[in-house]
Amino acid sequence: MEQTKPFYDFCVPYSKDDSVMRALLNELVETGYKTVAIDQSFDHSKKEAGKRGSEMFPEPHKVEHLRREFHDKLRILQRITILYVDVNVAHAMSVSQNLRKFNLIAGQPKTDAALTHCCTAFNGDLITFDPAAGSRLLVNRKAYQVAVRRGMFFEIKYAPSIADSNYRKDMIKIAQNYCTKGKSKNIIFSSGAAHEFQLRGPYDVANLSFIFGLSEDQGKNAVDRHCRQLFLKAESRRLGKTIMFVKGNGPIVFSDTSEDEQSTEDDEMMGLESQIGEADALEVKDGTEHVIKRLKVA
Amino acid sequence: MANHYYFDIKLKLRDPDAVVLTPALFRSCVLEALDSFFCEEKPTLEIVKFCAQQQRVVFRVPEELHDIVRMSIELIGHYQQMPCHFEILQSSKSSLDFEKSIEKTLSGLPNFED
Repeated sequence: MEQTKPFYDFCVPYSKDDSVMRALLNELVETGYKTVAIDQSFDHSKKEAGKRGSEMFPEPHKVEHLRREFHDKLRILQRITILYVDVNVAHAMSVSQNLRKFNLIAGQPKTDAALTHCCTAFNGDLITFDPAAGSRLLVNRKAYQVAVRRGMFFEIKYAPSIADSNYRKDMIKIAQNYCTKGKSKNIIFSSGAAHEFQLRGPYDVANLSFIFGLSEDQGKNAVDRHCRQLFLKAESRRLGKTIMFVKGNGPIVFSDTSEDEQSTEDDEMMGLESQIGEADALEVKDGTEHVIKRLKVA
Repeated sequence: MANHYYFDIKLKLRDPDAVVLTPALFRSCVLEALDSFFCEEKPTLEIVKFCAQQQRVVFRVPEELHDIVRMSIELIGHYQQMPCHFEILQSSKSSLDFEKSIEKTLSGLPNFED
């Protein structure tokens, strides 16, 4: 399994200036982060309809030199944030090869319709928002619940709230909306910091949960466990269907009941297994019949 | 006697030479942040120790203000229009002293001259 270490910051904006990137990454190491994602934005709405070809998403920026430099200190991932207004983005995403090169895909809707699409059908991992646009877009309860069920995560960036008090108000409003509509489920915190002075340590960030309407546990999970879940979900999306081999290192004990009880349970289990076996055989049979039918149609 | 919380702060400034670092200015910066974030007017904030060279401050606040002071410090992004980060190194109910902690660290190091 892909190994990552806490703590996580999944939004470090990419800068062409290497010295800025180095300063940011050094500060991240110093404050205790171990896994970070370098973010690059792509505005789908600015692409003209006629020019929407098979590949419209950019290649990830070259950050190999930074990976080598911070090899033993940080795990550097790459993320793309797609800004969009309509559902046409879904087709472009489905045919894109470049998107597979990114570890994380975030959606940044610009309209209410796009926000609903982002929650219900967007083939990404993360829903973010533009702090400069204010609290114009607020998610509704149903869309939030669908997004949570689909394993999507909502991102709250804290750096804009340090930079400007107006952004802070909007950020609090959006976070409170997440709290009232969906009990702040599946929230992650990330920085979105333009320079190293906007970065805060993971414990400080977790502590900011109080102003964003999250509980203490939710605050801690927002910089640790939820980020790990998000990473695993993104990896599974990238890799598609995979086969997993599980190897036991020793005897597996299912229960600590007595031998008699165990024997009756074993009998029951055997009965169940035989039933399941028959059902599986039927399913397989159905499956092959289905495939043969499809082949005939083709 | 009222209970207090002590904060040990490291001041990280983009250009430390371009700003005037004094206890009064630091205090007013924190109080201003408290006022703007939580409308907490004139809370008690006593500076216990201040070193401009090391850019370290130890101050104390009443126990009930601990949470809001902590959050306000985290959200401070500018000191005299200069980007800054006030890093909370430690907060404790017992008294803190950065000079002692520095001495302790130095005494813990092996002496290479012997």
